[in-house]
Amino acid sequence: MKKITTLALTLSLAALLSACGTVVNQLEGEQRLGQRLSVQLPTAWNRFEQDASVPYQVWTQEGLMLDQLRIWAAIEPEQALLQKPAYDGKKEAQLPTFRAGLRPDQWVGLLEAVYATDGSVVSIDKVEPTTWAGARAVRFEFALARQGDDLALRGVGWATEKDQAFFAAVFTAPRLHFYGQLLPQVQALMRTARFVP
Amino acid sequence: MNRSHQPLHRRGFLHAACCHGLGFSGLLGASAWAQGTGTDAPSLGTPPALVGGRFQRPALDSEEGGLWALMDREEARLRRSSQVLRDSRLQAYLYDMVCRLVGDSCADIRVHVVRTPLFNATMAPNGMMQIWTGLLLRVDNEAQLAAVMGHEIAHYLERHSLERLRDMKSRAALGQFMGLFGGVGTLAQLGVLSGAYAFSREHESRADELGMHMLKRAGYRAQEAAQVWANLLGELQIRGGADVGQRSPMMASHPPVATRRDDLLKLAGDDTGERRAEALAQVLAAHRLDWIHDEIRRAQHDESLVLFGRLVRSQPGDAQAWYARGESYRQRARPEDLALAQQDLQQAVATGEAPAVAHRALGLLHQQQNRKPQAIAAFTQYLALSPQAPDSALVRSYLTELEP
Repeated sequence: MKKITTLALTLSLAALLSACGTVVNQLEGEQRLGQRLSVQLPTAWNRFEQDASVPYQVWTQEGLMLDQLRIWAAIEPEQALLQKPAYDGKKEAQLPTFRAGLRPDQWVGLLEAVYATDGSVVSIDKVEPTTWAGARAVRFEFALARQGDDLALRGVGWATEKDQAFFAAVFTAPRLHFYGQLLPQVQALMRTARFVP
Repeated sequence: MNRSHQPLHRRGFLHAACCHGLGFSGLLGASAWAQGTGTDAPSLGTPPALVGGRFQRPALDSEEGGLWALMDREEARLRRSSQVLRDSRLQAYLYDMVCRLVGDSCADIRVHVVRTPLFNATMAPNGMMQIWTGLLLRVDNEAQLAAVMGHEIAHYLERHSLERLRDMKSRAALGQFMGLFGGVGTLAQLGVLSGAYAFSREHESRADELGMHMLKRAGYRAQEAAQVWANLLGELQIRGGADVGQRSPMMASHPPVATRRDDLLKLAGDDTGERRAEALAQVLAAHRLDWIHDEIRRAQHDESLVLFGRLVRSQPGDAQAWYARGESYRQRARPEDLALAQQDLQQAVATGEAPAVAHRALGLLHQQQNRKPQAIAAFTQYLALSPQAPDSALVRSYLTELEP
């Protein structure tokens, strides 16, 4: 009963938020990311339009508040993985920044910082070497207690470096229901990733 | 993090209704415990009649009753939160501290420890106190924690939230609107709330005074209240600069941090009480390494190095402190940091009590500098101590690459 109530509340929230009007493009077929990475979408995804200064794309299935697939493609050395925040009268906070030649554990560290920098609590559950887009890569799983709304999320990510550029995809969704429901679609999508010449 | 992707903050108004719950935007969430005294010449004056009679629950149809009901609902939600620590030993310890500070009134106060790596404590009008783990990581002893709690409890006993709610009613709609744009401590909220600080300065001053009274009466070393500020100052100055007290939008109407520290020292006088560092360390020990990792993951290494540097200096035999500073240097990775990281990590290992992750960090450091035998030894030790570590598969792959 509790699960049903939680799900009903979450769906209500999703319905409410889906009306909150951010421009969305529906994506289908082949997508080129940063002109270097190609994915073939087994199912349609929604991409949120955002300022060009944001260094990653955000895709979602159920809505931004519920699930997010963030994709960093062709991040260059010394480029930050997060948008520079507005000036707050203080020296800028340190942003996770890619440097060429990092190792897989350091790729994971950068992405941990992306999610933890606002005070959210990230707990890494698994880190393992893998192949992604035909390249030597790392895959990791984590739990995320999101600061701001206390939502308990789960996440999975892939990261690699190719020709001194950084590529990563991280999916997060509520631990209850949505993560397990959407994970197969994310994994299917990641299996299609290829670098293009 | 891109603000446009942050979750809606459905608790913006509730945080305002709490006496505190305010962070320095995105960084050290300094509590409203941290607000200025607003007094030029602090003194205890007449001992406040703050301890004694317990509160009767206000009538539900009263203004105060409505506020309590709102906070009761928030507390019910908090109890279910995955971020709340469920450690009965720690709960009992904190409850005993509250009783030591306020006597019988402790029955009306519940302390919730929230796992968030920022410095913050809040007190709601219904007796719900939140203490964030970033604060617990930063206090040196029980007396410092008691100073924060005493200040929060003083707000509760004097019903400052109710007065503040009345003052903020005209700001509430704006506050709710602003609250939609991010979490605790966003600039938007700071901007709205800073208008209330002129009103709350008197409360902060009063809470400092009453908190100090409780601290002394409970037999804690009162100077430690000022030490909390002295400790925080170094971290705040990393981003805020030397004049952090004057330039911060939130602190603009308040005395600088250093002044606050000095005022508390004057209030403390020559008191000699207990610090109880060991007692607090024991009860926090089971969580401390997790909180250290939470702090490191924020990736604000300049600030973390101030914190961990202080821990290393104050506890030279503390393996976790050496590990924490060494790992922060390793992750910051400036050219000069690698040697410092190695020195600290080796110091951690030399204590004989280093956490397994210290060996991992040392292995990564050696690997980075192409010292293969040392890297192999450190990784092997890590896996021996923590064979089921989350990253064991990755470390084994590193070993395979390193082995001849």
